[in-house]
Amino acid sequence: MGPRSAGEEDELDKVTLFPTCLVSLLFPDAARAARRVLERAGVAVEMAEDAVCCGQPAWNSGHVEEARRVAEGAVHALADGGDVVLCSGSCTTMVSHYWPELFEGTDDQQLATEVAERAHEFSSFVVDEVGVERLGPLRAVAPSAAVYHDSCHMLRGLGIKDAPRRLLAAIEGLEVRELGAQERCCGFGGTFSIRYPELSSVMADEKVDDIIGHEAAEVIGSDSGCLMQICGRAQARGVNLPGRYIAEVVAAAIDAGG
Amino acid sequence: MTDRATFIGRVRDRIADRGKTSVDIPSDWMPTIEDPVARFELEVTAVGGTFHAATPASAGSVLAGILADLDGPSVVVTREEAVPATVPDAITATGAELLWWPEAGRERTATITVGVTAAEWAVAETGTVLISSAPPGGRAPSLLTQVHVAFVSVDRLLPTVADLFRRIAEMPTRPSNLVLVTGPSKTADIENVLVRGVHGPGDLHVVLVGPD
Amino acid sequence: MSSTSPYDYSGTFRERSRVSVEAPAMRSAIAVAVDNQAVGREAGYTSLVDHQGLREVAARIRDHNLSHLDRHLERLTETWEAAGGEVFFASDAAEACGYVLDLAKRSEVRTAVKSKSMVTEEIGLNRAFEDAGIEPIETDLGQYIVQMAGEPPSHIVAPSIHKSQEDVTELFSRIAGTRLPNDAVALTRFARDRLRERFLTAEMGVSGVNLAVADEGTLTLVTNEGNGRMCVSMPRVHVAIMGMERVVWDFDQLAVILNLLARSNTGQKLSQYTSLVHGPRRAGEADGPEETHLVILDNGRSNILGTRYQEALRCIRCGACLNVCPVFRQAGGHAYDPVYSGPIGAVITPLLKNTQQAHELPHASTLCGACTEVCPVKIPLHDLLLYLRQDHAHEAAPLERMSYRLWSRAWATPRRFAWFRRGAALIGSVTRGRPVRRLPLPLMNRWTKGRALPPFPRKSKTER
Repeated sequence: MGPRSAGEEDELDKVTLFPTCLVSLLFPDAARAARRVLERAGVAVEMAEDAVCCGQPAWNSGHVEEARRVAEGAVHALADGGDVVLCSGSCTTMVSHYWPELFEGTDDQQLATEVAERAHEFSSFVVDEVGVERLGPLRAVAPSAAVYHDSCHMLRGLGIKDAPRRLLAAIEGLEVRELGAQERCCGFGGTFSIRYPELSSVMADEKVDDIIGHEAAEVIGSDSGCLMQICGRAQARGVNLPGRYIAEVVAAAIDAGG
Repeated sequence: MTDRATFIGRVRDRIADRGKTSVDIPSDWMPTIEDPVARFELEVTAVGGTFHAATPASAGSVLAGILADLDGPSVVVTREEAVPATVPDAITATGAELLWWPEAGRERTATITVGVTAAEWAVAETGTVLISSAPPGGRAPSLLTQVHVAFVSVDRLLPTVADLFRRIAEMPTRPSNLVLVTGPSKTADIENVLVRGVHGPGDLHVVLVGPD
Repeated sequence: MSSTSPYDYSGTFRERSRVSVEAPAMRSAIAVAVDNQAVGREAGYTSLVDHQGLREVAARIRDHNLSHLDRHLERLTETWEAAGGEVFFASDAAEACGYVLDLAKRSEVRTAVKSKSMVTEEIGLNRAFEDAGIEPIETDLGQYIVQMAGEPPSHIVAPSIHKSQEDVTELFSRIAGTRLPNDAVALTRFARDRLRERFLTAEMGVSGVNLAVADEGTLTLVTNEGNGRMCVSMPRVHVAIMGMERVVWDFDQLAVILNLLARSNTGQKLSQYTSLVHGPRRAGEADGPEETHLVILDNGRSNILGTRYQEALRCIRCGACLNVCPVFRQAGGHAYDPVYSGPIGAVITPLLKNTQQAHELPHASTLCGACTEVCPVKIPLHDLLLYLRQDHAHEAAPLERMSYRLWSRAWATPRRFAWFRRGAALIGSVTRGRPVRRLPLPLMNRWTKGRALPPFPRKSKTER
């Protein structure tokens, strides 16, 4: 278990971890890492196995009924319990901002609104609710420079900019560099990346060029969709630019911290 | 052809169900200007104008100095009160051709190098001067020439744009045209390169006239 | 000079944006221009006491104007007529053009000098003039450039943002009949001299209206070059065309909006010239137009009133949303609509026009929210884009609608979703943890057009 100071009262917070669909499908390590980090801080974690998807893809395309049908499952899967932590900034925005609207006038309105109120994005939960100090010493596997990518929904939808930076700042040996156009969209935009693949790709190019220009060894983010976009574009261009979900970086730093 | 009652009736119908909103503009939204004269000079310069300070007595030689940098200039002058009395003689003393507005007329004014006018008000916050079309002023002298010289009295210097609009609202009669002039004419439409003097004057001189 | 466009607006956004996507030099020109404006904008905001607070005040002013729009327009009519001006209410583009042409005929107009106005593009005024044998002359330098090139403007505030200096040198040299230097100053001087004579001989000046001040019978024109002042001062007849929502009540409200307008565009505190037009020349005035006409235009705006899109009518056309949009900088203005582009264009075009092209525009966005964040009157642009997508979802291609229906059923339960996880693991074991460069499955192949897919996971169960 985590390193708690001797004599500190055992605050066994309990959270439900909602990996979100993209993470469940393609990046299960991200969810494992998030779990590891929370448990290290003394938080009991229950995986929301039955929560599939928040409905964002259909919602963003304007297909409201389909979004509701998918999100219903997640609403009910998260009905019981306390805080819900999501491994995605954009999904957290969907749940906390748009679920009340999505379920307005339906039987699930009250429940969805209630769940929305206890939804948290992973890094902001760790920093603001749990406290970084509960993670103990954090050390980068090897000294390196990275870039943190702010996903638009998390930045503007949730207003979260500081928390992930504070979390990464606690890792000794990790330098996080700010980009020239830090807040510009990477071009993912969910279905936008499929509807307008050429536009999406040149938008990613600007981001990749900006990152390369800052000589970062990797890109760290809180949204796997964005990481997929940026690193996928780099890969197609023959540029070596790995990316990791923020929890994976922290989990590795826990291991190296000793 | 839609008549106005029908047009406005449609607008009224469309907004009928929405609540009427009110608005309170806070009284303190403008910046405080500590030293208006210094700030005015800073802003005039920042927007690409040239600032001069003068008294009624020295105004003529300030203008002569401006003309000295030009090649064989002609000058059109308005009879507005804020243009100091020493100005016309100073012009003719340099050998420059002096014409009066409105006698010069529009077509002639378009060929004249320098237009000398008054400004009704000035704004420290932005380096703005307010040019009026009210007689004995006009529109052409500050618009068609290559160089515009505006004389404004220091007691007409206001702190902010908001103050200026209050004064404009208080004017008992307003002319058909008022222009807030903030620097010389410019454009960056060609590859973002800043060019002065597109259609309006490319050089703006603002002379702030204080007491002797 | 014809104003018909060589650009084909009949295709899809994806097709129209290809021109820009495949022209890195053009995209770079746009990027430099909008980035410069962004830097200026940020700097400009620092000179405001409370920028965010002022945005809130401005939003409330505009909401007030809209919620009392009938009264504002009535009052404007009273005060404008009291100043000696004339008012015409135009329900649509045809009525607006009809009025202007009648007036031009009565006044024996042969040439009309124009100050940049998107509303005149919206009603197709130039084409109407040409058809009636009248020559319209664009005098804003950027607008003059695109008129001479036979193209529509590509940006609300910087119409020729897509043209390089070389482009302009070529263009002007052709007009001049001689090789002009490839130098912005020389090119500008050429345009100035060329247009000077037109200003002094044109019988009619046409302008837009940035904001009308209802209680004061005043039209506000915000310009930088001086051509706006020329158009409203030199010809005998001045016609101003105004979207009916562009009205504030008094000078106090105008002062707030003006403080944000130029700053939001380029960062200047004020534009070079803010003209306050108050009817035709008064008795005793030595110059100025003898007639001033105000055309107040509906053209679909009343349909937006009273709907959840009403906030879009707060817009003061500052161009900030275009400058900040990550899609606009790559796609270029011509990918949108001939008149209004960028985020505000993607919102109002489908509200004013009922075409397939218009309905697609709200999808050409990642909903990143940068536009909403920057808008000086706090229009929730990215939310309006989302609502528009909802409104037009039923028009989506049958294949798309069916895909979403199937998907929603497939992901409605964890058991069905588990099949997708197994599928992903299967791909993972086949590709053995390497990034996937090509995947010829529907939708996936769109992704792999420009990007690799990440390595697929090899385990299907999470570790405990």
